[in-house]
Formats: sequence, structure tokens, C-alpha cells
Amino acid sequence: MLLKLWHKNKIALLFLAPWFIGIIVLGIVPMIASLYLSFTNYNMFQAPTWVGLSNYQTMLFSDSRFIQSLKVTFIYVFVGVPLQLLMAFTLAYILNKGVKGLAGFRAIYYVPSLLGPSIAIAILWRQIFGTNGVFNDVVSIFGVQPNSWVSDPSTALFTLIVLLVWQFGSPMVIFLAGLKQIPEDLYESASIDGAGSLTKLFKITIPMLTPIIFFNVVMQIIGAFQAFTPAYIIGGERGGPLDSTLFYTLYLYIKAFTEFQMGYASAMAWMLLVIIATFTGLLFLSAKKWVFYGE
Amino acid sequence: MRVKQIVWFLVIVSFFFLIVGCGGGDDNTTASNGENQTETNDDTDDSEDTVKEEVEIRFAWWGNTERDAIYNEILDLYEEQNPHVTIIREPSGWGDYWTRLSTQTAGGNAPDVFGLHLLLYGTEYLSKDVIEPLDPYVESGLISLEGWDESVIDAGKYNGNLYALAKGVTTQGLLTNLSFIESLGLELPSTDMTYNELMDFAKEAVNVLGEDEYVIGDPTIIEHGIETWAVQKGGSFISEDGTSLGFSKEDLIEYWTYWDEMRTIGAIPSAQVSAEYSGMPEESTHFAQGKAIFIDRPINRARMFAGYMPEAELTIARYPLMEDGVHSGGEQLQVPAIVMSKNAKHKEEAAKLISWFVNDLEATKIYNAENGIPGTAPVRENLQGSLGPIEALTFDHFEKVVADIPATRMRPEGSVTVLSAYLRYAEEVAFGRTAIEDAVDAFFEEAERILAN
Repeated sequence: MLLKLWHKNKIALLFLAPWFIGIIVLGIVPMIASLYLSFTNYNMFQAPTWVGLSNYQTMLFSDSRFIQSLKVTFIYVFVGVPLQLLMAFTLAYILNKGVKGLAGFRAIYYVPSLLGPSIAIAILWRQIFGTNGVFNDVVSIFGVQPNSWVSDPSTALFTLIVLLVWQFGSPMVIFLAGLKQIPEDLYESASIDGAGSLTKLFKITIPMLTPIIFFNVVMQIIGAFQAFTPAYIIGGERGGPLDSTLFYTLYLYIKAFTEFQMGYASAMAWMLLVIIATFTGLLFLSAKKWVFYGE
Repeated sequence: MRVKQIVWFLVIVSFFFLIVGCGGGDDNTTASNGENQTETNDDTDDSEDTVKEEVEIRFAWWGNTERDAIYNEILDLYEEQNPHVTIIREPSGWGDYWTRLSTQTAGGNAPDVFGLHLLLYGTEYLSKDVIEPLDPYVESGLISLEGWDESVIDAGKYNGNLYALAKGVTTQGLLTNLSFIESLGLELPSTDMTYNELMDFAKEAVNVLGEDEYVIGDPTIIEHGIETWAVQKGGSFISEDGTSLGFSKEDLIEYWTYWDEMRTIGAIPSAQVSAEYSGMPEESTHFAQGKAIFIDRPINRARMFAGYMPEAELTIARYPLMEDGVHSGGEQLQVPAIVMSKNAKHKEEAAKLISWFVNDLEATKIYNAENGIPGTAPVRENLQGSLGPIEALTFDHFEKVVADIPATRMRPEGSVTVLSAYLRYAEEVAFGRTAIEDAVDAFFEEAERILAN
């Protein structure tokens, strides 16, 4: 059967070969290796030694920094992503109302997403929210005491959430595309029935947009769980101050490359996969209740 | 079936490009790291070296763009003198360097010759059989140790074998801004202050210091502070056998309390200010901005700071001394060294390069004690004439310190993890989140757990 498949699709398979080689060599093999390593003690230089589930046990039951990194990451994801999507939707909604120079605005709002998780932006953020930063100048107008927001343990994470929200460009573009897909006649008939713009928003726009919302929620949550650069730069490479920006991925990195505990880091990577898969799975289950695929 | 043939042709061609693409990519990344290394040595056909096999040596170091320029100049000179050798240069910044090095080493792909900070990472590498012992090359004469200080050679030894040669040796000191002290109307008590004298001086200074001006940065969040304190108390950061901390709870309580008082009176910045400056380049430190009297740094950086603040008069003071300590001075030798990978392809050529790098008078002249004081007398003498005032000061200071401190030992394995735990608790104390006694207890518990593994 396999032979038949080969004869029938020889050329197609050959064209796909580079991709297959890529995914096997750079994807599947390292993943299997890391699954194996997650059950070992591995300092990178000497052969790994098998320790069974001990990495996972330490992680879940006796590593307070691991718990802290989970806490930080959950706050980042579950506060940051909804705010970011709300921002993206609001702007897409306004732009879709027929603003002059739509293409220009769309491009401008998209720029932060392009700059995205870069080192330059993270450094810029440190400047903006530092003691002598612009943010202090702005809030001082409202009588807020100047503060170094990035180095205060109680506000550092908040500056990272602002950074995430600021990068609303790519979900916004997707929302815009979705809004354009909604048939005009739905709005027309609603107008004839005397619906106001709020009613139209909640009864037509949002229900029709649920597949897009769903897509954006899933993608942004997965992305936010994997955020690394902002915490690495803004948290001074250690997730500081006081572990307040210790993202999951940053802690994983510290374990792997600062403390040479590659086995433990591999276990953390697999745990992250489980966490992301769980939340994505829950979202898909819930989708049946609220995502509307037309007709 | 012409179409079929064309398709086959395209598939094969695209495969070819895929392979070439990967190889080419690698070449490009290494090439872009060093600017001047692209010259290959095809034009050596007529020279006498034709018989020698073409050799490539990968050479890695940590630093910044200024240091990269110096290294490139030195390595260019070597290539000029040894046309059959091409040196692939792999520079990176301090933080990334260790990540990259550990990954490469794990992959059996470490650079042939690379820099290693012995105090910090020496044991992590030397204990794992990834570094080539240098004794055979010394015996065969490829590596010369003529005129080397015994103490510096010893610093590169592990379990009796020689593994590393110092590129330079340095030690922690207090770089001091004399102009700033004068402008404040103060006087530096001496360049050999004790902790008590420093405290008295700080108490006086805080009355005249302006806003956002400090006596010194917070040393509790730098590892050398506690290590020096421990040595002065007669211990070390981690005990020699690597199974426990090398100082007592009382020592740490006393240390944190001393600096906590400094923080309270405003002589050192608050934890929040320190956090804001962590990871910033040296140019933007309070000291370089003329807003701090001292900075505790390896003394070879005096030259760099002098460059950042040309109008200020600088000097170097001892790291504070402990009057009633077991040792009054507790500075450790910091040895940025050069080592060879066990997997190096051309070991004899690599050994020759290492020896040349640390011994050749022309090369070391270009290097100009960049990473600390040379550990070999002929090189030091050769540099004497060309030293500026700040370098002369560094040399003198170093000589004074070395005569006064106990021997330096590499930190045992596991110290990196203990250190990162230490820094975390030090920060908790600095932020006032945890009482000193509680933080000490928690740190000791965590450190002992780490070291037990």
C-alpha cells in the first residue's frame, strides 16, 4: 500500500521532502530527545543519568520558583491576552466604520506587532517605564508619584502586560478582515427592523465574528505562554526584581543554560506543552457553546 | 515525458540548494562575527609555508566591540605570521557567551580555543573532561611558561594538571572618583580603608551627597562582596569539598546588616534603583555618570572608566579590609584564562596559538593588559614603558594586593546555582521583603539542598 502511495505521488512527495527532512531533523528528533532527557539528570557535558519521574516531582512539589513562574505566566496570559484582544477588536471596529486613510492607520497600528518581541523594544520599554522615563512625565500630570515601574516588584509585570497589549496589530488585522466578511444585508435588514448600533454590535457583529475571536484567542494564548524576550531583557536576565517577571520560559532558560540542569529544563518544556495543550483543549471544548460557524 | 524530466531536474537542483544553503549559512554567520578574517590564504603558493597544511582554528572570547577590535588586530597579526592558519573568530557579550559555550560544548562543538573565567566557571568545565590538559604541550615546548609567576600557573591547574593560561589576572577593588570627593568637600581617609572607616566616611558623605548620588553601588547583589567577606572571615564562598557553604550564618547576618545600614543612611542605592540599573552597560552606572564616589569592579576596568570620564581624577582603593578578620584582605584573583577544547581538531596548532597569544611581546603589546595584569614577567616589563597613569596605578595596586591575600581557589561545582540563590535572597533583603535572619536561614537551607545533590 505504501509502495502504491509512493508510485502515485512520487513527485509530490519529493517536493515535500525538504519539509519532511526539516520537521524530522529539527522537530521530531529533538522532541523525542528532550522527552528522554526529561527523565534524566543531564548537565550537558556528561552522559545523562536516568532518574525517572524525579524531575517532575521536584517541579510540582518542592520548587517554589517553579510555582512562582507559573503564577507570573498565568497573570500575564489571562490578564494580558483579553486586554490585548479587546484593544484589537475596538480599533478594528472603529477602523471598519469607514475611517479615511484606513490603509495608513492599519499599517501604523501593525508596526508594533512587527517590532514585536525584539530586544530593541524591550530596551525601549525599560527606558519608558524607568525613573526618568516618559511614563512618569505623563502620569505626573495626574498627580501620580514618579516611580521606577520596571524595577518595582509590584509593577514590573504590569509593564510587560502593557507591552503585550501594545502589540495588538496582528489580531487587529485579522479582526478587520473578519469584519469585512460580514454580509452588509444583515445590517440593512436589522436597520429596517429598527435596531440601534449597540444591538447590531451584540446581535450581528460579535456572533458573526466568533470564529475569528476564537482563532485569535487560541493563537494569542499560545503565544503569550511562550513569551520570553521581554522578561529576559526587562527582568535583567533573572526575572527580577524579586522574581516578579520570572516567566515560565525564562525560568526554563535559567535552569538549562545558567544552572546546567538540562534534564529539569526538558521536563519543564514538556510540562509547558501539557499546560498549553490543556488550555487549548478546554477552549476547543467550550467553542461548541459559543462559536458560531454560520447557518 | 519532457515535463517529468524537468521536474526531476528541479527537484535535484532544489536539493542541491538546500544543502549548499545550509553550509553557506554557517559560513556567513561566522564570517560576520569577525570583520577582518575573510582573507583566505590562497596566495601563499610561493612562500616557504606551502608544505604546511591549511588549518582553521576557532577562537572564542567574551567582551564588547572595543575588545573585539583588539582581538581582531592580534589574530590578524598571527595569520600574517602564519599564513597557513585561518582563525575563525567567535566573539560575544558576557551573558550570551556562557550560554553559547555550554551549548556548543554539549554538542561536542566547542571552539578550539576559548576564554574561560576560572573563578566563576572553571570547575564547571574542568571537572567534566571537556578541556585539553596543556602539560604535554609544555613538555614538548609548544607552550612556553618562561617567566610565568608560579601563582598564576597554579591558578590554571585542576587536580594537578595544567589546563588554563591566564590572559591576565585581576582582582576586585574600589575605583575611586577623587574629583567628586573633592567637589563634595570631603577627603578620602586612605586607599586602604577598613569596613569601619568606610562606614564613617559614608556617614559623613551622605550629608553632602545630592539626590540620586551615592557612596557606592550595592555590593550585596554582586557575588564578589560576600565571597571577599567570607575569605576575610577565614572561609570561602563554598567549602573546598563542595558540600557546604564556606561561611557561617553569623557571617552572612553580619555582612547583610552592615550593608543594610549603608542602605538605610542612603550611602548605597535602594533595591529598586539597583534593580533599574542591573544589566545596564558600565557607561550608565552612577559612577561613570559622576554620581558615585566608588564602584567595586575588577581593577583592570579602571582604564575603561577613565575613558568614560576623562575629566575626573580616578584612583584605586583596596576592597575594604577587615580589622579583626582572619585575613584583613579577602580579594580573590580573577583569572580570565585561555583554554583548549578536548575536541580541538589541530591541537598542536592550537597550542602554538595559545602560547603566542599570552607570550608574544608584540601580541601582548596590542593586548596591553586589556583583561588584567599579565602573569608573566617579560610581558609586564615590555609593557612598562607604554603604560598610562591609570594602568601604572592598576599594576601597582595589583602588586600590593597579591602580596596580602590568601591563595585563590576555584569555586567548586554547583557554585553557579548557589550563587543565583544567594543573589535572590540578597535582593529580598535589599527590598526589605524578608528580614535578614529569615533570609539567611532560607538561603542556607536552599544552598545545602543544592550542594547535597
